[in-house]
Amino acid sequence: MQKILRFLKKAIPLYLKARRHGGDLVLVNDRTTHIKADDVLAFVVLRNEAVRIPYFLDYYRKLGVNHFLFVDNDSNDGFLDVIGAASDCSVWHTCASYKEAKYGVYWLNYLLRRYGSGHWCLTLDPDEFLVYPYCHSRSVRELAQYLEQEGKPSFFTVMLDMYGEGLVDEALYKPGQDPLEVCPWFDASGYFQDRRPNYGEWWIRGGVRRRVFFADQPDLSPALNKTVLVKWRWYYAYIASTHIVWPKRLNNPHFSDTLAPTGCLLHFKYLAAFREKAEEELERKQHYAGSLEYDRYLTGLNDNLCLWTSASVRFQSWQHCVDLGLMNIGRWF
Amino acid sequence: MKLAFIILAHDDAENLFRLIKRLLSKDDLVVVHWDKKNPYDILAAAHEKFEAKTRSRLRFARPVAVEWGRWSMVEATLSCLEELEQSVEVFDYVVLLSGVDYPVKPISALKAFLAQQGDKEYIECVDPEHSAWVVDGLVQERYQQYHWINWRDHPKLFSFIVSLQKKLGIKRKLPGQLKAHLGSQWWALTWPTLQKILQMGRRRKIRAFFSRTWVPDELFFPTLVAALVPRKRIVSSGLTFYHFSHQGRPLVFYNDHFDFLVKQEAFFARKLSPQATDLRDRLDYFIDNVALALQPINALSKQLADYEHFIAVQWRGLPGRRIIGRQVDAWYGDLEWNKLPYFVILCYPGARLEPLREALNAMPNICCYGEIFRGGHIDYGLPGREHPLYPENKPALRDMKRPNFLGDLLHANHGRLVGFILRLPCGNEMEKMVIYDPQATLIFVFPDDRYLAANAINWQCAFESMIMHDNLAEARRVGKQSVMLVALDDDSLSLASIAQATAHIGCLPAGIAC
Repeated sequence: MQKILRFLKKAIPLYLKARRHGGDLVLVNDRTTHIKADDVLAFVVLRNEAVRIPYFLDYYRKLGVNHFLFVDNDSNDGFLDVIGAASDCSVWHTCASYKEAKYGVYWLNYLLRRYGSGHWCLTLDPDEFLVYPYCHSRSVRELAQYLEQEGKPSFFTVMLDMYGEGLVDEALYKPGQDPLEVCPWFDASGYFQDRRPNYGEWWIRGGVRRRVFFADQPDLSPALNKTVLVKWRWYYAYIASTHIVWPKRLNNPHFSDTLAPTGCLLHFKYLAAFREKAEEELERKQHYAGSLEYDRYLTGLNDNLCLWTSASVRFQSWQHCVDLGLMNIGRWF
Repeated sequence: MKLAFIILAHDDAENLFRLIKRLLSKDDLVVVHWDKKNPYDILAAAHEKFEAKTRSRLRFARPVAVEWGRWSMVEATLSCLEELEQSVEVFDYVVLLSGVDYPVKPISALKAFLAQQGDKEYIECVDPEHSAWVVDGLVQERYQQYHWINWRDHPKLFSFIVSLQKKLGIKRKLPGQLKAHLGSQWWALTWPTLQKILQMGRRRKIRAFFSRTWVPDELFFPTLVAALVPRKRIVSSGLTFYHFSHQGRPLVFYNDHFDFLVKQEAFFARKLSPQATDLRDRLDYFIDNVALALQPINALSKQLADYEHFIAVQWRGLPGRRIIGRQVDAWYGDLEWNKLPYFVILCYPGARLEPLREALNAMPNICCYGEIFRGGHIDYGLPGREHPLYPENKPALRDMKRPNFLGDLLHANHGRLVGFILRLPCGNEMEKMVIYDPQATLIFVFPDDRYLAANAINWQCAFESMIMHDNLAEARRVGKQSVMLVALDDDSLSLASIAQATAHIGCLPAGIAC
């Protein structure tokens, strides 16, 4: 009984908030009838990221994602034209505040509940590229089937911040280009993992953000843990971006006895367009902690910081991430 | 030699057709059982897909709604056998496959093998009273108790009913002279044996018994074959390669498993991932072009060395690598995964160790840092050997988690034996960390006995000495062999002490390669 009450106490507010903010979304490109029963879905919240979309779609289609559900937070860069008539992309438009929707989480929870229940759902940003064990030869669906067979409803990833050799302003990216051509480097060490009590999530910090932008107060550096792939059920909810999922058990990366596979998310934030983005976000103050993160990024950019060091590692393959201890294969043969 | 293949399938018509196409040659016959629960019109699809010539060698059995673990699985197989019985043709062998199986050797090689081995039955037949076949789960309970419900739907109720029956002393006996045998569902049997099985399967008593058992598909055929066929004619292995993990789940094969499957001394493999089109393509090519030139198989066997090696290495994570999302002791941070040995020179605050450090750094493959854990900047003390991700002027990065910093520093100096100086008391967790870390070799540098001055006790000196002794005692309690050096009057080390330390460190191994 107590268990049920505790469950309702958490589930009802989450449901109501998602429903309230879900009302802000307007379906402008409706292809949801194409969603089939066991499809793998991708949910994306974005604002002015049209440049990244062509390659993003390519990459995830190749991995076997069947349908993309976008929340377009008032983009003005012709995002809808980029999507065009693709039959696997549905778009919701909203002008509402990103911050009030808890940085997009309520919108996502709303869509995930409505369209994602019973599906394996990827929740991504357009600058995140998933790498998992055997990703060159096995699809996301095969990964999902394996996890399902083993009784694991979620898949844990670590975000790796990628950067180029020179200044951030020089990392020019063209639509459709593989961002690895521009930013192939990342920090192979300098990560710190820690389990947090409330939701039991593994809090991972480190990488280039901590080293460059938060070197004097590393405790403030942003989290790098993300649980992006979940077999969604109606009452599940993301709490803080995709860093924390509720219920708590979804945050556990492994089985109680042995290891489960985990993945990496290649995060291409530091492209030349980043300065523009940081300036805009600082102006809008729509991000976490008064956009403190963006304030630091901009200061760093103005100091002409070079992110590359002699200890940076060039990304090669998923195997490489396993060798560096950033990813586990678990016992997936 | 004439073969008939029975294929049990419930979805994925695309791969089913591909398998049928692969199996059919001029004499053989394929009987497909398509699950009644799937509304897809398989007959129409097959009609569209295959030419009349192929269709004439393809039969569809009366569909049964199949439920995993229940009698309907056997019923589906029997329904296929009835379909075969109705045809006038006579087959030497009937091979049972599923829709996710695929051949790994040519059918001609299979026929040659069957002909060469003579009149044998290929079915796993294990007596559960004498040897273990089930990895994990029910064995005798499968047939000694009644089963009405599916474990998949109601796992708790299922276990409750089984244990209740056990408490009540219910123990069913097999009908007639039958003795229970277990084995994999996938077999290849001769037609005369199957005819006898069909006849026995029509007996009311036998149906009544097996329809109330759990996973009867792994019980019905082995039990009847064991009763009908003399032991020496049973090869206790099917023609299909399959494997179950320690958790009792079947291995699934993906595009990268081609080499593993080709090694197997079996004729079919299960289960292939529905998306593994590449793997099927490569197997097709292998069967058509390569396999014919290879040595024929003499015995069926599993080649599991690769898999077992993989599991042995992976089940706890790779040696010497951090595991994301797992921590045995939060105190150690990621240093708990470290397998690189290092050394620490623990000394009292006033000790002068520059000569010792110089002597150590002059040795090949040894790198002795300064006081890297002290104060407001990271004192590497070795120009050119700083860690680029931890700049000297950013000590906060180091202090966020000191053991992690040490771990990263050790891995950055791969192939070298790394050490550093720690002055006691150091005011942070590293003091205790290095004493308890099994990878750390300790060298204690004690002050001279100066605290007994001529007229009074030098308290400062006495405390320093005491702290050093406390830590040494703790290291001994942990069971660590450590070196003890005593500084001279002027806080420096004698040449003999330096030689002793360098000799000790020079003998240390440089760590495992990883």
